[in-house]
Amino acid sequence: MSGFRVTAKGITIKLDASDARLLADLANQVAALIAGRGDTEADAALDRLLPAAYRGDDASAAEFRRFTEDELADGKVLNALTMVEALQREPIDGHLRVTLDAASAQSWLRSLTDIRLALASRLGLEDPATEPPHEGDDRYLLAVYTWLGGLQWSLVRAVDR
Amino acid sequence: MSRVRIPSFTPWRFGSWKAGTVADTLERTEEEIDLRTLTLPERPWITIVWNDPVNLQNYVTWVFKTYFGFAQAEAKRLMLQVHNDGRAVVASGSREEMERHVVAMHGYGLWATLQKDDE
Repeated sequence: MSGFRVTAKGITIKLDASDARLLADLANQVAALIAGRGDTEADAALDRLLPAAYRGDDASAAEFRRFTEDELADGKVLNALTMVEALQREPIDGHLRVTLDAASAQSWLRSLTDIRLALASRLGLEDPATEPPHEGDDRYLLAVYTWLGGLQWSLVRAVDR
Repeated sequence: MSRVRIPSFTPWRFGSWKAGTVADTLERTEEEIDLRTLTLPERPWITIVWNDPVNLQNYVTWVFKTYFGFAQAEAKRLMLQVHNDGRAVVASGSREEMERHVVAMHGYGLWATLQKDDE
């Protein structure tokens, strides 16, 4: 996997058009999940994306949510949309080259994290006792999750120099 | 590649998000936080980052360097402490400060909580 590289123009990646569509789709879904949320704690993925700030103190946790959750959630939606926007250009010869400046690289790092957290929650990967899926859609999602991890690793390496 | 849906994600509700809501929320939230912090006593509090199997080691180290300004070695030491011990105390100070740190960590996707130091 090639991943992100540092060039004179900034941090860039060359993606297959289909991979770019997949990334944009996932980012859009995470944005929609967060923007359309109801009871955060009732949904495991949302509860991990917007976690309680206090353990064993429900009153403080609830109060903290009341004061901070909307702003935190809006930031995550904007990060996801920053990613979607960068992926919406027309591919050339089946590829899309994306170049990130410092600010958009930050949004991508955070958004890739959020997508991976949501996927991990849906796949049950947070519990070490859970067997990784071996078949069907979940197996495909696990491959996507692993691919996103490599992508993010390369982006951290590019940013952290 | 076929279109992927994360199982049981909520249906498309993108239309409910409107431009301008962010700015409105920011203003309102800041005002409310100010009122709230007036009544908080100065006590020693700590910020704890908890281990999770999702976040990459190089990402967690980068977050600690970027946000807290730790040197590489200290950031890596704390990352490894989170990884090996399941948790690490990454900051201590007033409750308001720790609340800011915790919400910042949540912004990066790290799992963080705050509590009194003597717990």
